[in-house]
Formats: sequence, structure tokens, C-alpha cells
Amino acid sequence: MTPCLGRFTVTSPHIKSLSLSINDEVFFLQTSPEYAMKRLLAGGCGSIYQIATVFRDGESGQRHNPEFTMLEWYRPNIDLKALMVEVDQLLQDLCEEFSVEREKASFISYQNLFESKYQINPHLVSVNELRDLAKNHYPNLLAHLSSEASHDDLLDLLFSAGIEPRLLNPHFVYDYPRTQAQLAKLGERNGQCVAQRFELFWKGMELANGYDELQDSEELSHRSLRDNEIRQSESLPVVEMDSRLLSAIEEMPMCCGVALGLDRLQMLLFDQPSMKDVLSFDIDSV
Amino acid sequence: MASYSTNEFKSGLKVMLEGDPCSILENEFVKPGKGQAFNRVKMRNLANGRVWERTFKSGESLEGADVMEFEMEYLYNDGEYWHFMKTDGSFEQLAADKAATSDAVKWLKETEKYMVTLWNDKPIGVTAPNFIDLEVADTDPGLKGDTAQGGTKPATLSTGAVVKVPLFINIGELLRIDTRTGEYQSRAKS
Repeated sequence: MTPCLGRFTVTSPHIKSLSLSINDEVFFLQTSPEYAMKRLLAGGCGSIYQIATVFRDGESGQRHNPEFTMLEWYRPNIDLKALMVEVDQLLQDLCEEFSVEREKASFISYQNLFESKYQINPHLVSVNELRDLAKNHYPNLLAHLSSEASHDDLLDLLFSAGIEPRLLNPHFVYDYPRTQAQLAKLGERNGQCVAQRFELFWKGMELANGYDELQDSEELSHRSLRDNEIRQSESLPVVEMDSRLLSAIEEMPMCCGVALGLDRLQMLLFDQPSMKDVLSFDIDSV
Repeated sequence: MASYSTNEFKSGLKVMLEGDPCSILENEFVKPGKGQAFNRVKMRNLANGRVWERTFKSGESLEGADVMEFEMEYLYNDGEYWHFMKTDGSFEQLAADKAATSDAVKWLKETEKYMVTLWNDKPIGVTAPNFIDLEVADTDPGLKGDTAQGGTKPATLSTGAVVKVPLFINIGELLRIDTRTGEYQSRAKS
């Protein structure tokens, strides 16, 4: 097990870390065991997995609890496609184990989903076109977005309102917009720059998130600077990049990794509508 | 009035939106991929009964609405207002206008008790009990022997409501009606 506590945390503007103070020093509760596991990978541990308790502030609801459980694993020297197949195999095995019926998984790119639902290429479409599309399709669902809503904010809205609920059989969605790369490598597909990551959806719910892991510390520094610019523009606290992670990813072998929400997986396997139904005590009852 | 943030939006919470009091029906926390979180909220506008769907930035807050519900007895209609009296022993009387009584008007029977929704102490809604016993004021004559199956006819009740009833029902009979569906349930014991 890697520690629950870290001196650093994620810079992503949309993840709120919880912090606490130990001997007058501030520590963060891990939002995922990713940073620590990458340091182990850099040390040469080979394939590793972990079931970790993770924490995210402000996330409660039917599909969220501020404290939840993640199954995360890393595979040196396999590609993203092979990792998707491995995740699918795990799902198949679990469904068999618990006698859950499951349709065959689909593998589809982010772009294909937007083309078939909205007839747009999400990598090329302008912010104005996206805003018009959102206004036409979901006039009631725009109130939370400011007039300066970004390309990604609008894509997220269109995806979560019109695409995600229809992904009923397991769907591995890959090739995300480059601006949503997080800690994934960028690559080229059909002449377009895409983020080499995937997300798994099942019964209209996001279940897992996988990356072809970025090994370029300069690029990571650059992304964290951009995260912090967004943080400043939204009056969120600036988060310092983990210097140990920066050196670790340079040492780390080429690898792919995935994080899978175990509580959500239980919801799906045992047909429970709400996360509180699979937790001993949810945040309202601890 | 206190204000409530999106994570406090529970079903039944009364909040103000665009100047109208609303009751939260559903609140779904949405976090797309690694994107910005928002809450997708369904609420009933208590002033006009319409259901609104809106999104809020997670953490955004709304002012609470001073909305209370009281059990009140229906007294009479003066041509413009419907008058109710609190049953809590205060005997306080309030007048509800047409907009407030709305669809409940066809179920208003003297001495019956209703839930009256008040906003800033003013009635904005009236809810009839789920089942109410009302007398048949008018219907075609009953058909003898036809008690078992099939066939309905319209009957006008003492409140003016028109419901479908079995063919054997006669004028003057007391009927149990489901006010949520407006359907005949059974004969009522008088």
C-alpha cells in the first residue's frame, strides 16, 4: 500500500483535495494513488496494482462519495489497446463470477461519439459552434456555465447530457481531446492530435479511466502551469507540482495505467442505484 | 432566510429561484470525466406548479424560501377567495385566491381538511387529501342489476367535479374519489 497522505496533490482545477496538518506541516489526502505508484514504477517494481481509499472534497451524490475506493494498476510495456482488453476481461470474469448478464463491449473514439450524436468533430469545432449546439439541445442545462465557458466545459456538458446516458453496454471511449490529456501522452490519429487515454462507461456511468502514461517531465510542468492558470482565473488555490513525480516519470518505463471505481463497479454488478447502497456508511451516516 | 449550497439540496428543500419559491425534487451531482462538476436539479415552482430543470455550479447557493405547510379546514367561497382555517387550535383564517387553489378547487368540501402551502404567510397552494368522499349531485339513472362489470357514465359531484362512475351509481350516493387521479374508487359509507 502506498500512503494515504502526500506532501503534494493533483493540480487539476476540477479536483478538490482535502488537506490536514501533521506536526504543523500540511499534507494532502490522496485523490488517487497515482503519484506514489509512479515513483514505485520508476524504482523498477514492474507491474503493480493496488486497492486504495481515496478522497475528494465536494463530491457527493448518487454516484459519488468524498471517500471512495479505487482499483488502480500499471502495466509496463503494454499499449492502451491491450490495457482496455485487460479491463474488459476483468469485467467479463466478474460478471461470470456474480452471474451478471453483460453485453459485449464496444470500443469507440470520442470523435465518433460526437459525430454520430451531434455531427461535429470535437477536436476541430469552435467554442461558438459548441455553445450554439448546447443552447439548442439543452437550453435548461447551461445555467452553471459562465459566458466564458471553455471548449472543454461545453464538450463535457454535451457528453454528459447526450452521450454518457446512452452508453449502456460497456463502452471503451478513447482518443480524448488534447486539452483533456491529464497525465496521458499525446499522439496523432488521422492527422489530429489526441490524448492517449480511455474511459470505460457501463450502464450510462463512468467506471474507469486509463492512460498511456506521460513520461515527459517538461510537458507535465507545462500542463501543471496551465492548470494553475485556470485555478487562478476561477479563484481556486494554486497547487504546487510534485517535484518527486516530475523526476519519477522520466525514470518510469513506458507503461499504461488505469483506475477503476470499485464502489461503482459494485453498484453495477449488484444492480444498486446509489453508491450509499454499496457502502457500509456513506458520508451522511459516518 | 438562510441560504443553501448545492450539496444541501435535498428533496423537499424550499428555495428561491428567479423570484419564485421552489421545492427541490431531485438533485444529481454530475462530474464529467475530469471536468468541472455541476448539479442537475429538478424543482417544482410552487407559485405555478411547473417543474423546472436547471444546472448549478457545484457549491453555488440559493436563498431558502419561507414556505410552510399547514393543515387547514375549508370554510367557504366568497365568490373571489376560498377561506380556510388552521386546525392547530389558533382558528386563524386565510383566504386563498384562484391561482392558489388551482386544480384543488374541484375537491373543496366544507369542513374537510386540506394542506395549504404558505409563502411569506400567503397561501400559494392547496392540496386535497388523497381520498375524499363526495356526494353525487347529478348522473343518469342507475341500471338495476348491472353491478358486476363494465361500463361507466359521467357523474357530477357536489363540488362540481365530473368523474366516471359505474352504471349502478345513483344521485345522492356518497362516493370515494382518488383526488390525485380524479378516479372513482368505491361507494363510501355515509
